Amino acid sequence: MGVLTIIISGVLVGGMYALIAIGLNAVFGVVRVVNFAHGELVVLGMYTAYFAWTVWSVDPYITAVLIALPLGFLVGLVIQRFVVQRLLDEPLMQMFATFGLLMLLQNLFLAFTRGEPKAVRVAASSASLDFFGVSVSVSRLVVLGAAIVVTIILVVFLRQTLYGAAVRAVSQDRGTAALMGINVKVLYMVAFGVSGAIALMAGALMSPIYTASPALGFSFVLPAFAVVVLGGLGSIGGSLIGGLIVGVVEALSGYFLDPALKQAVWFTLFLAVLVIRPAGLFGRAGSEEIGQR
Amino acid sequence: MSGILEVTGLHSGYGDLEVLHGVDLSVEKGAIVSVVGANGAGKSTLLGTIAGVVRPTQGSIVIDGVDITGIAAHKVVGHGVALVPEGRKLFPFLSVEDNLRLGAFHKAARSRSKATRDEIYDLFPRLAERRTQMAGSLSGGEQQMCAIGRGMMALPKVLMLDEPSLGLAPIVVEQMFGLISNLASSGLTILLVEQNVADALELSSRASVLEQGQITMTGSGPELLADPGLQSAYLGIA
Amino acid sequence: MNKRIPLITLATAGVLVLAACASSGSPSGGSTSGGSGSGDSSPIKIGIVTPLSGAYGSEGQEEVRGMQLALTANGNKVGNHPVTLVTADGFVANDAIAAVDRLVSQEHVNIITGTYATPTSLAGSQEAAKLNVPWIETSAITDSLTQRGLDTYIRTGARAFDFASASADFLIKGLGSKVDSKSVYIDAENGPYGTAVEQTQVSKLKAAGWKVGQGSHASAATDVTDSVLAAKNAKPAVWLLTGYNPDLTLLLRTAAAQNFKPQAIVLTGAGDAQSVYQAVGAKDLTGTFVVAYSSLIESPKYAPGMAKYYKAYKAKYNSEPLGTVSATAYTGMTAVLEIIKAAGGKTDTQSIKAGSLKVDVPLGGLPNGWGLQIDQQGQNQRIELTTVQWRSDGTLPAVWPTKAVKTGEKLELK
Ligand SMILES: Nc1ncnc2c1ncn2[C@@H]1O[C@H](COP(=O)(O)OP(=O)(O)OP(=O)(O)O)[C@@H](O)[C@H]1O
Ligand SMILES: [Mg+2]
Repeated sequence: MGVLTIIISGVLVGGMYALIAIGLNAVFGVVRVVNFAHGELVVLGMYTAYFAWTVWSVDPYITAVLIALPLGFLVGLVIQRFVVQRLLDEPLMQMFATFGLLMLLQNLFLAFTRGEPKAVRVAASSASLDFFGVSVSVSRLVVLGAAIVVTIILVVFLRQTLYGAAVRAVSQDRGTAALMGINVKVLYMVAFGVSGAIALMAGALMSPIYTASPALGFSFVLPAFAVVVLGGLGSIGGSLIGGLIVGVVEALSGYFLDPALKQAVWFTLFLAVLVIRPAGLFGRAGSEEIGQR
Repeated sequence: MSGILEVTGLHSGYGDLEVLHGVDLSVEKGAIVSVVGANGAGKSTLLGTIAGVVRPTQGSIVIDGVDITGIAAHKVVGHGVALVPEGRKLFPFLSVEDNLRLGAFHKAARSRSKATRDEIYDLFPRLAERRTQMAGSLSGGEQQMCAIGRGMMALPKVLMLDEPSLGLAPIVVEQMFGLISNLASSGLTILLVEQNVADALELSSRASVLEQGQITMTGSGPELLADPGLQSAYLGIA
Repeated sequence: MNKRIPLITLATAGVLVLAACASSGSPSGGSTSGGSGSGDSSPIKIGIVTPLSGAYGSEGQEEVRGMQLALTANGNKVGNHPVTLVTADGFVANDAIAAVDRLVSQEHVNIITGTYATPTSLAGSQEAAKLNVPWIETSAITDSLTQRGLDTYIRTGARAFDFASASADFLIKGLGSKVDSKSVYIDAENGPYGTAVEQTQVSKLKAAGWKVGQGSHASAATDVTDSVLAAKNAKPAVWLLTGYNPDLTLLLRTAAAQNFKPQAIVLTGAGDAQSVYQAVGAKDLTGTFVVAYSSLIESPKYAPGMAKYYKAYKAKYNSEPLGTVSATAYTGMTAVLEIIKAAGGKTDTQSIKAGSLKVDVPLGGLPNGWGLQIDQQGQNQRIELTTVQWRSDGTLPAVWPTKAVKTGEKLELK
């Protein structure tokens, strides 16, 4: 029973990593920008849910869909338009800029909350289902569900639609994509918007589980980065599977080895994959080398 | 009589480096016009400037009566100019079919996308066989077909080909030039850039020589072929 | 002619700079301005180094508020010496050193206090020692701070060790007779702080005959099901946790989800914030014990100064204090003033050290119920941490030690 409980808890945490990694990958894989501030966008989603909950008594799950998605889209758009766009040909500067954004957002959170942790509590916070005698947290199940739904939507979009093909084209060669009549700037803005929307939605969905605090983003974005590389740059399905793998590996090593070692274990796994298969488990060999042209 | 594409007094370059110093070029509808010149003469820069990838600093580009000077690259194709870039530049991790579909991304071509694609598959049966294959895994000749097909998907008024023979085996080069003249005879206007001077001039109705960013000679293909100066400079005939 | 004026100006400037350097070199050493004999009324300037910006900025600001209120409560003086405060922002080592340099060379402070944060205290006090300025720490808790053999360093506040032993004592003397078995599972965050606390708890509880199980968790963990299951499998009567608010919250929530219900849950060092109540919920939090700083506003006999502090805070800042930082700082500044008084108003390092060794405030003498007796290492030995217990209405009355318990409250298991 203990092992089943642990595997399930790992899958559930993996769902969170996956959802965050997918948002990260939308930018990382398409625009080829490392958005260090992605975790802060997740935290912004948590604060948004907290704010809507305390001020207007809006349920965080409603906030996730009706407020966090559009707000996140807008925030992502603005970041691309006013920060990243200007630095498109300077990858190093982009890193500094998104890192600066991370600091800026953290300090804004501090200023507005005085550093006080903010917690949302709704029925789902403590609700659980029984799965073969193991209690499964409903709020975490919702996040896993969201990760799966978002993955399906994005994969269908990328594989089946002309705009999806355009996104993939831009990620491979933006100069040539422009020759096809694709407005690369707009597409980058949309990619960032989608990434922001997923991040804020993830934050709102996670608000019944975690206490929001300014530095929380880091706890999630570090595994999410590993998940993106593990699953493959630009591979959304890879992010989902990678997230689940990291979650389960982390949980099992925490239980059987030592909680202090669990990050070390998945990090070792991540390095091993990187050495053996640089494109990640599901990325196409060679695609990691396609930079911006 | 003015051509479908008129380039007048065009200056352009990269940052402080000016590459084109006042280029004039006229392309008649239905013709094959070629621009030949040595490495680094500015041929690709000329096509890139027309396609909107390189910013012009002076002069004008008019396509079918519409001035498109200095507009963004993604808008140029909608005005009827498609560029098949040097080195093909396919999207390597997209299927042949998706590469073609993207050729017809702009609005005017999108609605006819399926029909055009079928025509292209008729023209290049090899591509039809490999429609689901990654473009990056095609042979060099197939890749060039795919790149030309992708350009044609845009239903352009002028199709610009930048060194289509580059990196192809001699026999494939022959086929490629045969194909280009077939396309022209079916009514497509082609602006061709080549280092393969003899072959290019043979099939061109008009041709210009570009030297260090300036047009130094213009005439019909056979005229230029017969020119002794050009023979010694580009054809290795003393 | 023209050239002489700048030369003279330069020369004058040079002399002035030299003079400034000389005077800033040792503002409080030897015979300078700061302190002199009793009857003297020379002013005393106290510098406060604390994080005023960044992650702990709001705590640092609370620290300053508490100290300001304590000074006001003492009429802004010690004996006949008028006292003023100057603040400086410092969190990471470099900031703290720069802050100390500025306070000493430009503000000419006589004593430095603070800090809320260990890095600030560690680096800042080293620099102050070089400049021969005494440092009286009120709120950084890392044990090693008073184990450095730094003669200019005194700590009036609690150590991590005090939290560890208070929590162990609470189990041994307070809970021991109420739980079915003397078995405890101890889980602390796996950083240096939690590890040190856990060590002390383990050795004290083992010595008292308790059956002890041990685990740990990362304070930044995203999931703690593994730690909770390990504790649950051990079937302890008491679950003793050390960490920060977010990870303790996660542990409590996960325990509820995994249906882990030991007879008593005891949190050390944190877990008394309103956010914890909000996140865990009354149902699962009620009955949980917290060994922490406490404002003890409702225990007037035990902590005589706290009601006054609370009233003054509300009146001056027109808001609720943020946690217990300002309450602790209030007590801390009161202790600083006691030490200066015992040093006869002198603020050089020797006098402060001698004064600190003389100070003898019995338990209950400081506003929050502590006393003040500094040992040779500079550590206050009269610290008594209280245990509070979450009630279903979100209040946290003291339940241990017995004398701190207000009438009508008592220690009972859930
Ligand atoms: N992106 C660029 N940035 C700066 N300079 C460039 C760039 N592209 C080309 N150039 C320079 O512009 C000049 C003309 O280059 P261009 O590519 O137009 O020549 P070309 O005639 O196409 O040569 P080739 O036959 O080798 O393809 C060269 O000197 C080249 O170095
Ligand atoms: Mg070229």
